[in-house]
Amino acid sequence: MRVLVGVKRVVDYAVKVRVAADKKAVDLANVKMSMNPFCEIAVEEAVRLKEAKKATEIIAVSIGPKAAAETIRTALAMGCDRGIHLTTDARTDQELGPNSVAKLLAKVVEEESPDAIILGKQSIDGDFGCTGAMLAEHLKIPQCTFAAAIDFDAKTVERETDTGTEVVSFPSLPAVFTADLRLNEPRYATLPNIMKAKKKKIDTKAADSLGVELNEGNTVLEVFEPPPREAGIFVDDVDGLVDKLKNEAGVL
Amino acid sequence: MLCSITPLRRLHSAAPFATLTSTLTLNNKLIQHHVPKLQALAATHSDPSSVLFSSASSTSSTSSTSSTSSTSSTDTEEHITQKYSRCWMDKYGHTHPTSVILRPSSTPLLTQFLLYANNQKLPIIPQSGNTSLVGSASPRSSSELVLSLDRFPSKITLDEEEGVMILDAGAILQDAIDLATKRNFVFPVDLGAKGSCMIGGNVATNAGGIYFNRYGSMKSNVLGLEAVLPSGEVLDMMRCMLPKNSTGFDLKSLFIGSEGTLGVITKVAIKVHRKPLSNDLCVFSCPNFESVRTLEDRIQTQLGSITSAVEIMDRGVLELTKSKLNTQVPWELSAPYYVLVETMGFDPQTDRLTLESFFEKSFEDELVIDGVLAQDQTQQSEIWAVRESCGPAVNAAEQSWKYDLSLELKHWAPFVKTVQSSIGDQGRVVLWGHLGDRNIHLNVVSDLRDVDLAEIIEPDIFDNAIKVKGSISAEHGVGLAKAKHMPKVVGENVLNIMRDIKRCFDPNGIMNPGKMLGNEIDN
Repeated sequence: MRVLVGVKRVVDYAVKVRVAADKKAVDLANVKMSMNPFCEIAVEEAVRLKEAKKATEIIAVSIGPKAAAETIRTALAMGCDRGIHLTTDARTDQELGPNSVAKLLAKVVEEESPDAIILGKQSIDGDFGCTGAMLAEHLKIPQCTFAAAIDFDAKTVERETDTGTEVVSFPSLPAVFTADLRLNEPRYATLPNIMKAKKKKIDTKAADSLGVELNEGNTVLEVFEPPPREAGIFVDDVDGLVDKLKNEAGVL
Repeated sequence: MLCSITPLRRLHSAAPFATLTSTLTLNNKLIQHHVPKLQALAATHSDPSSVLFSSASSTSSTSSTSSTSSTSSTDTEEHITQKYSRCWMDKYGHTHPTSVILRPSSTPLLTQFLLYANNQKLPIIPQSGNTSLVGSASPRSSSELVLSLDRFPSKITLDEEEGVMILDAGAILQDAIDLATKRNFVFPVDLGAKGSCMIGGNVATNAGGIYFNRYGSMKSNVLGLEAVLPSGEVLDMMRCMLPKNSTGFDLKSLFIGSEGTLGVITKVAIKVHRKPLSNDLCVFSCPNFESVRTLEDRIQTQLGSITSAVEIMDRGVLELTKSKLNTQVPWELSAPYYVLVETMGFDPQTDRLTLESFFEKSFEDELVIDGVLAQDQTQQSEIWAVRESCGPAVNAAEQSWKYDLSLELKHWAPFVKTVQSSIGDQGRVVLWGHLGDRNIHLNVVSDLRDVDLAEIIEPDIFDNAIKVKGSISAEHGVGLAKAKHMPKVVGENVLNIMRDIKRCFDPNGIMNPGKMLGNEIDN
């Protein structure tokens, strides 16, 4: 089985982002960037498949600036076999929308014919959570999203719901799977594997050379911080509480 | 007048300040006579909750009247006195807890308390975060008053252009670190207890930590200090907070590492350093200690200017943290030693490449057999969490003994071997520490409950450290634990001058008696 994994370079999960002065975007100057945490989980799942001898080849694909090659290198260090880098100067946190990404990935899928495509359920910058589903639609193949467990033998996926999990089955491969938090615990890149990854191949091409219309999606009007959290207050009695809930919070 | 000593005639210590047999008498007087006076002082400063006391240990027949913070049961009183007496390791303070706790919320009240204690010759134990590992902040009897800074001001301000942070003594270290980080600075002191320890105590113990390697000691980073003396004087050593200031004896450095024996630190100015643009963290697995030594040499040469922390942990302590605390150790425990290297440089890409080729060469030369490189901030925090779990892991063992030594690298392995063979199978030696600074935390853990391995290990370990010109207290301090070794550590004539200086600041010997300098001085 050949597996294609999507990896995105995003602002590091632990960074406290700041809004840029022009309020059009998040300030990315000198900010630490890392692999999207859900993409890490996707990579880990694919690597485990290879270790279980269920997959023969894992390809990591990323769409992003030149530095996204580092993100692919991390995926290679975790155990992917080779990488594909579609370069773009568009801001991948807000200019390049999920539909464009889905269409680009669909082109890669046409080229590489993977049996399974595993993506993170969402990126922590755009937070759309749409790319996986849109990709499946473009390819007209099954999608199993928010996967907490994937069984390729039984062809079932346990997926997260608001009330717990449900098990769905997919009829056939190829299919798109999106990884949720509980799917696995990603491994660290060991230095020996980082060394080995240097020898693995990354194919680089410009994203706009694939014949895909890229300038669609939403227009960002403004980026702003949520209002700061105010201190809590004490109320004197239940009546006071009801009054606040009704007249201030407006929830009653 | 501040002090009255004549250096030519040394007044040596004789009897201890208060023997245990007179404790109960003192204690009664303490509760019945002094506490009301202290409460009156507190009232004039509108701070009645600054005096807590428990008469549980007195032999008075009057009913146990509690503090004005309305604790009425003896259980709650005991809980409070234990809280301010028991040390983090459960080694000091809990068997003879204090009965009076002063918790001033301002410098003027602190001054009044200290002045009163000085006039009445009451022993005072200054207590900051109470995270001492050597009993510096623990009372030796119920007649020693704990002066806690837990209600003291904790304001922190930062001058970004000059890189100076001014902190009230009650500021928690974590808060200082967080503010510095938020404004793109690095606070020069970072250590495991940061969530609880306060800056006053950090300065008073000359705290070390993981960034000593890059930013130097507390002494190099304290630009100004304010302290209150037993005489009631507020010593302002913050008139100039620029780093280059060569004007007379540097009194503030006397307070750094004074362990509460000279006065109470109330405010400090600390140098903070601009945060470098890139930050990486890796752990190298080394097959033996010889390779650790060679690796450390190469780290200094090839990574030198970008390293911020160089730490070491052995397999023993990692196995312990996994079994006792369920700590996630995200690398294979296939080697006996693990060297943690944190870098802070100018460019993430270049630093990464530098680290990777450093590893590659070390791997080829068989100095390392494995390693991990954190791929994001979360992984960095996880790796640091492993390092910070070493102390707690050891504390979770049935019994443990801590030795905080500075030793030249060539002595590390022999010292471990000597201690291990002296205790045989009664315990296990584990080590971690600040490799770059030569500060080894040699710890002994045991599953046995009723044998005190310190009797076997000490004083040899200290004598051996002194013999090879090491330090018996790299950063933890002397406190109660090592006070008796001071004569052979610093030598008689140096110790005598230290005691003269102590007498100069504290002629009545009320400040933290019995700690650091050992025998009390005459009063």
